[in-house]
Amino acid sequence: MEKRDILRIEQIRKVYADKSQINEHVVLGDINLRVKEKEMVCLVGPSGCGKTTLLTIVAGFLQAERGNIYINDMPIHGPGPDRGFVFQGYALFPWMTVEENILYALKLRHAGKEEKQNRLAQLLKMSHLSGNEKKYPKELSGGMKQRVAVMRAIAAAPELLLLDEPLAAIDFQMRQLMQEELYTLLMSANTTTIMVTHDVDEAVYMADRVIVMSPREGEIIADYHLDMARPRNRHSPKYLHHKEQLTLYLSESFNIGMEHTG
Amino acid sequence: MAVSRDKIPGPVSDGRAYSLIILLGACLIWYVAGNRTTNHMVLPTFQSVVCAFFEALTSKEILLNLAITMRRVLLGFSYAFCIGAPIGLLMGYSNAANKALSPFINSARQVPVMAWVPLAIIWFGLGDGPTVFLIAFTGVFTMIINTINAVQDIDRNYYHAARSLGATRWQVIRDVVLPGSFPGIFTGGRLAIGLGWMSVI
Repeated sequence: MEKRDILRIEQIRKVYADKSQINEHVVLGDINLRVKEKEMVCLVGPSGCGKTTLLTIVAGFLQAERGNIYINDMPIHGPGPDRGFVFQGYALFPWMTVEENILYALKLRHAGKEEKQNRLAQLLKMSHLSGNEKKYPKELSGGMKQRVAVMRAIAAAPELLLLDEPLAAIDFQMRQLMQEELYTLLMSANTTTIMVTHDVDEAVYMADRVIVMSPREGEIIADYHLDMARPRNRHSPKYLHHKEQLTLYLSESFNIGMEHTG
Repeated sequence: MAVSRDKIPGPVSDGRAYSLIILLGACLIWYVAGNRTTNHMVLPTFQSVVCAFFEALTSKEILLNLAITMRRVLLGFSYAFCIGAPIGLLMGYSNAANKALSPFINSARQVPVMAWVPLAIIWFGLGDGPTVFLIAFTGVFTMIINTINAVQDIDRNYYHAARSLGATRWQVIRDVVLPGSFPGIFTGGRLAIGLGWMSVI
């Protein structure tokens, strides 16, 4: 059976004007994209290609000048709990404990005590955070913060999980380890996911599909499907082949950017 | 070898130990200088001031006056807090409110506090009223400005996070704006009390 579209992005246009309102910079020209149920999509592209802008428009934090976004065929108006968001710096509320952060979405919709306790137990087990629920974010390691951020975003079972370069601030040695951790979490969360990254290896390791965007009005220059079994072996010929292909697309995108701005 | 950035344990890392040394040093200098001076109007001796201090501590009249002053400061501060914090929260959260109220706040706070004394006496009569008013008046702008800054310093992503988890505007204020600005409001409160003490005279 054909999987249904969870997300439909139609003709999204976003323009940034400078302070004088004279010079305009078209970040996203005319973006169309569909994401199917349970799909794991990575948006890649050089800096300034509009990948984070597109993600924030889907989240509802930013408004597009034109176009529509539908979640399950319903148009979105601003942010909502149907789209969980994991921020680059995690943005965990420092005044709340791990438990309060994770259960915040459930608190907002006045979930019962039993429902909250069951969901918390389930999420803590999934993220190996048991025993840390009374700690505050400042007491956690980077990896633990990431897990709390993902758990908070998926606690209310959103239709779509959006991640904005969740591993950007992590140094190279920790990065692979945290990629694997994040990958395991996302697999057990089993949610439709869009993740922005600038790391091709991260995209090949995690995604079902990689969208390569270019700095020329955010144009999608490749919609690349990765038909590989999971978990993926980073040294397999197939893996390296996909990585090479995507790197070529990314260089192409980079060249487009140079021509566009130069 | 990795250099440890941990604090050195023991009294050396404790600033209070240094404070005590500075205090004892200052007392010693005062003691020596006081005993060498012949004119005690210029510099009273250390021991006479210590005696006077302990006499004052046990004097009923002084303690009563101290209590009256503290009551005035706390009362004035309470007004400053109850008026300043909500106005600061509103101005920090809403750009429109900030633009609308800023001209009035900025011009009113430039007026020297002594200039308000005659008006305060006319409005509140003689007694505690004008004093409490002036303490509140000096504290309220500190409260407002610190609260505005505290709200504006809250990371935008906390608002986004709360909204994306389903928070309404009021829930964002309750769960993000209030706790997020608390440290700044607290600092404003400390400064306002300090200013209150200074203006009580």
